[in-house]
Amino acid sequence: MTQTVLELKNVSKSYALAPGSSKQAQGRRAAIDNVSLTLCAGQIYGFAGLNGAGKTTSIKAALGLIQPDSGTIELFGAPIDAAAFNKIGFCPEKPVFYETLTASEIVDFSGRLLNIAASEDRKKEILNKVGLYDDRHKRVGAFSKGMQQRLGIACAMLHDPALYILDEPASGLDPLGRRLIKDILKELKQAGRTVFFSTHIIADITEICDKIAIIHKGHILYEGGVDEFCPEHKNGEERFVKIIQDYDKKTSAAAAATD
Amino acid sequence: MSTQPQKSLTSSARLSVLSALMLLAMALSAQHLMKSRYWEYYYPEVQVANFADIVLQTIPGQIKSFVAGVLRITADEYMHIGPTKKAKQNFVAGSFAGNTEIMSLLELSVILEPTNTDMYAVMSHNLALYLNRFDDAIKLLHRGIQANKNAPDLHKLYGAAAYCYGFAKKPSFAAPAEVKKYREIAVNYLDAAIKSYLANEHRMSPYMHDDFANLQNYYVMQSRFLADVGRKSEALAAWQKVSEARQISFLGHYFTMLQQEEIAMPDFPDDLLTAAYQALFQVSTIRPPYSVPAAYRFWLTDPASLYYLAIYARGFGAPSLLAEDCHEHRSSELNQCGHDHSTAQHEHVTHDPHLQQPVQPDHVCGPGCEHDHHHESTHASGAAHEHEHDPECPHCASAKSWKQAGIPVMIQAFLMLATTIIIRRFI
Amino acid sequence: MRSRISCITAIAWYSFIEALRNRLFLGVFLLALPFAAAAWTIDVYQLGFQTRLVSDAGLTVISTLGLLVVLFFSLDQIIPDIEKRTVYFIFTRMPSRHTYMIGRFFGIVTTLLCLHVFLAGLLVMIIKLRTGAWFNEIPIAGLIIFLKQSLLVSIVMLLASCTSKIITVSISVLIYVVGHGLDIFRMLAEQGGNSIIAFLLDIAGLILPDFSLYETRIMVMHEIPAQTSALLILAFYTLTAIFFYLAIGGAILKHRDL
Repeated sequence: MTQTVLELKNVSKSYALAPGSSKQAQGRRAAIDNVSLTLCAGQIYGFAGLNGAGKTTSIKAALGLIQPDSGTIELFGAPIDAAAFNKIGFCPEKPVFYETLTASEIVDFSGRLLNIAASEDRKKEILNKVGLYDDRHKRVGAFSKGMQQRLGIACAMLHDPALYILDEPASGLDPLGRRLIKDILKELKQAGRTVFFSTHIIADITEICDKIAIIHKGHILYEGGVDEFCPEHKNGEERFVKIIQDYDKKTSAAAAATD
Repeated sequence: MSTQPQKSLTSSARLSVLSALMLLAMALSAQHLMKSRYWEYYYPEVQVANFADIVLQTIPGQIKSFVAGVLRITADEYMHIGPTKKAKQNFVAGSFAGNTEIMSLLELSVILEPTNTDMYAVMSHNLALYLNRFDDAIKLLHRGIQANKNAPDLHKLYGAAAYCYGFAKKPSFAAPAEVKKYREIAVNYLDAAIKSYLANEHRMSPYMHDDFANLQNYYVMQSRFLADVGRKSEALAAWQKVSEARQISFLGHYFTMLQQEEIAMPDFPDDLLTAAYQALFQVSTIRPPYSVPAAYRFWLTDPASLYYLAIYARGFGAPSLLAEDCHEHRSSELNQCGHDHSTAQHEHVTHDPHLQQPVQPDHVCGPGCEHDHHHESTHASGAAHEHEHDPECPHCASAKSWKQAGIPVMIQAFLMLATTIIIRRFI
Repeated sequence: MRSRISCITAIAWYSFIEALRNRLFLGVFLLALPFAAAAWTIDVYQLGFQTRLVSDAGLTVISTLGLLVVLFFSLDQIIPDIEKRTVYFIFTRMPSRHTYMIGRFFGIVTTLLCLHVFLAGLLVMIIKLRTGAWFNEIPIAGLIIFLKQSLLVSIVMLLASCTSKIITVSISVLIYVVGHGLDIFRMLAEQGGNSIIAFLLDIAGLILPDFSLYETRIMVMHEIPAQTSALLILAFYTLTAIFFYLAIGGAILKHRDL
């Protein structure tokens, strides 16, 4: 049996609504509600959902960046522990770095935070992989969105972790950049690494992933193998839309019935 | 899903900030409203057409006035501290005479607040009489006169100019012709001062009273300078305006001789004092004009003043910064120069026999010092610090104040340390 | 432990680099030049170099510029990190958020130290060149000002971990001002006979820092050497207070959702 690398069990998190909101009378809004996921070692897991579905909240809860209201989260079979961060490479949706530092310094910084001494060769290798080696002495403030995204992925790869958690890694990238990311993910898959990434581009998931989960309005609507989700990896998007539309119909009917 | 960034200010915090700003605005408006009602009384030289003018005038004016006040307080502090120990300077603590440190500060205060007439007087006296900058002193006073043409206390500036002209050249070291020429000019300024005083007397408030710049002093100076320049009858006429209490003086003696047409009366009133001056300077090494020998003067580092400084510093809550502690005082020079010297410190200018001794730079009294005999003789019995600590003893009080300050500091530090450990361990 | 130290040094070093490359910091450094020139231009009557005035004004400038660095750079370090989510990069790579606070603190303090060493050194050299004497009170006063401002940095960081910029600045300045007069307020309350207020002020005195302990004016103006034991006690007090406020800030940050 393969080792469970990441497990979320019935994780919920709600936020207070901002004053002035039309739903203010309701007090709080659930960002995620009873979310359960299981990721095994060596899997490439695609986490799909529309904008605002709860993808980033789930990832932040998994990494301990937010405190969930309920549920349990385990990384490598144990509750979240700072020691686990050495085994995780995380790249947020829009990575932001210190603008006055150069790309090379950011990579160094990342290494020192992880208590590893990144050799020049290793830095060169990963910066080359993301296509930033020539811009390594440029300040991050002068980087485009795509370049910052690629730098975030480079920092996630620096220590060759066992688990990659990437929040919309292709966001903000041009087609070449997206192709680069896909190639990196395929390489990681071949190298046996575990990757958990969120996206709203179903085609990317059906092309690369082993497992897929669909989240919508804070609820997991589907979790299973990609082959089951869309046989022969076709019509993934239609299937995705159908699942979401079915859910919306069900919830509006239930809401109408209670009214 | 992206989470909304948290709202940094809750509505209640926003409300409280707005309320505070509104209260501040109301307070400022009320102040300006009251001031505008009495505007002409406070600021007669500034003509105001409407309320907006007042607001525009006063806010910057108040800020400038505040800064000028801070500069004056700092200058006063410097004046009381006296010269820097390491740099040998030509002035003493407690007087602005010859003090170069305060001049820049006072100049700035005068630029910021030209309506403060007292500063012109202090600066001009210092420049003209002690710093050998007579022309600068007069230019300064003219600036002040231009800036305060409609001020009720304009007479102070004329009086200051008269003082500078009158005493810049003295018969003891200047040619009689030069003295007369300067004192003629002084008389003119005194006429202007008296005229200004009488014209504005009804506008003067009680806080404008000055111990030096008042009508009686002007009459005294006028009669003296008129006598100096040879206009004896006018001098006598001016002397009649001086109050009877003020007439008992050397100058009064001179005018008595003048009235009685005594043959032996000297040409200048100053000459009456020649014998007294000679007696004075026999015991003092100070020679006119004001000068300092090359060595660092002993009475500029009077240990008694250092002792009071210690009390002052501790009273201000800075006990930990002082090198001496109460226990050390027992064997230090401060111990030898205890309480009684404090009364002598005002007299040491002329009567301190130390001044006859050859002095070393930065010399202070220590045990075995040849000045010991003098110190012991000035001590009342029991004033030295080998006595048991009296509850009223200021050295003991100052030592207690250091402990009082130190103990709460350490308690707070240890409490914070314990709390830090608890937070790091359990939270 | 080694990883914590590595994180702290990394964050401190890059915070320092960030500050050095900030044009605002360059501006603060350059502000010292017109202030230094003012010492000569205000000598209207050509009375010569006035040591006391220059040392007093110099220390005031050092204190003011240090305060600017504390307020601007402390605020610029934590609040933008949280708002722009730069902290994701850090928090997902390090043992604890306390470590982040300590690292950031040391980064700002290193910046402050550079500023103080430069300015105090400049002042001492100017006075030495003009008067020929070493005024040792100035570096000691500089050290005391540095300790005071380091303490203020920790308070600003504590507030920055839980509030907005404007509230942080307002409360920091309030604590700074009240802290200088805490003993006076206490004395007034005791003299006024109000025991409740005096007691409350005593409690506040235990939590709030007592900035009146860092008074240097009397020492410098009267050229009184400072006691070594007093300086050590002051340094100990400062360190414990700094770690107290940083611990609270770290605890708040730890439980804060990002």
